[in-house]
Order: sequence, then structure tokens, then C-alpha cells
Amino acid sequence: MTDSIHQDIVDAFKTLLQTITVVNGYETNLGSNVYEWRPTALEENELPGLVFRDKPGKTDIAIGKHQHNLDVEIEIKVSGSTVPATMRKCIADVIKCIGTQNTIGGQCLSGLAEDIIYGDAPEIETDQANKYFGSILMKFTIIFLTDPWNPYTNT
Amino acid sequence: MTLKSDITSDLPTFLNSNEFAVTVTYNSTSIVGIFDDAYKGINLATGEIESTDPQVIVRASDISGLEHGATLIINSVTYYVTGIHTDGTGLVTLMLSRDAL
Repeated sequence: MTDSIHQDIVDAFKTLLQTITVVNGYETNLGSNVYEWRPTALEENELPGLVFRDKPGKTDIAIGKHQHNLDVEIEIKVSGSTVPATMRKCIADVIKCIGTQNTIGGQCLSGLAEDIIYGDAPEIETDQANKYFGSILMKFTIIFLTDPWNPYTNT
Repeated sequence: MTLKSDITSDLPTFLNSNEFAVTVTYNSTSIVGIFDDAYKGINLATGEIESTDPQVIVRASDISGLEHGATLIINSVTYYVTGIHTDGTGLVTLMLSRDAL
């Protein structure tokens, strides 16, 4: 059985985030440690690390389709003596990365989604123990369509 | 002798590098301290990072003038002092980090 469009979108979103590397023109290698719904703690050697969580939101009826609002939280963990600057770089990289998908009037995530909307301002926290740590929480909403009562097609 | 003076005179017994204490290098001088590096979960937002919370107990008289940001070498690792917690009895717990302030 094929995957649902929801699943395909999450896969495409993860692949997109994994492109955040210095080699690809970004400021960080955040894309090297991307996890979805990771239930366990990150180790220090996995930083910078990114955990994202997709949370299905409201579904509307639109032009004979179901329009889904998929809320996505992106949580980024960093460490090092330059944590504030590293956090700013990570925020910029994520915005730049997701921005590659937003074309006026076009679809995104390989044509699976209609739009990605940037949510509330990032939340930032820091702490210091064995290392200097920082955390960023960013929120986006992915809008996609399916046929009514059929999560697998959008004909 | 009072209990207080007994405890003070016993400090070298507690801070003995043949027992639990280790050598701490501060300002190119070797002192001794009891070093711990126990697990600490860093809980920022909703996710956790596995880390540790290094700290060393030393005699206050050995670290005169020490301030936040000072460096100590313990077990060949350089640590930055991030906290100075005195106990008022002649001992100080120094909170440590591998990253500078």
C-alpha cells in the first residue's frame, strides 16, 4: 500500500532539512543530525541537532478537497562557546531552507503541499553545565490537500 | 578543641589525593579537590540533552582571588569556572564547564 500524503510530506520535509549543510551553502551542518519525533535525549556529540514533530491541525473543506493544516515544531539544540551566534545561524539556515520551497503561486515539497507558513517567533533558551547549550523552537504550518476522506490521493 | 576546629584540621584528610581527591591545576599551581562529573539532563524547551555537571570541591584558602571564567585543569581537561559556591566552613564547590563563559 502506498503511503498517505501526510507521510510523504513528512518524508519530503525531513529530506529538505537534511540539505542544511555548509557544503550546500548554509552556515551550519544542522542537516547532519535531523530526527523526527525523537523520544530520547540527544547526546552532546549529536549537536547541533534538530528534532521535528508534526502535529495534524484543523482540516477544512476547500474546493471539493480536504485542506489540511499540518503544524510542525522544529527544535534545535546547539552547544559551544559561541552558542548565541550559532543559534542565530541555525535560525537563518532553517528559514533559508524552508524558503526554497515557497514560490509565488506554486506548490512545495515536491508538489505535495500547497504552502509552508512561518509561525510564531522562535523561542530561545540557554543553559550551561559541562558545555554551553542553546535551544531554539520554531513553528511552521504545512498546508496540503487530499481528496475528501482519502488521505492517499489528491486527484 | 571545638568540633569546628576538628573539622577544619581534618580537611586535609578529606582532600587527600590518595583517597578521593584529584590534582587540580590552578594558576600553574597544583592543589587538590574532590571532582564529580555526574549526569545532568539539560532540559531546554521540550527536548533533553544528555550531559554532565562537573564540579570540584576545594579549600577556599587554595583559590584566593579566583573568579568566574578562571581555568582549572583536572584529569588533563581544561574547565572554566562558571560558579563559586562557598559553604562558609572553608570549602568551596566550583561549578565547571568545558566551554568558556
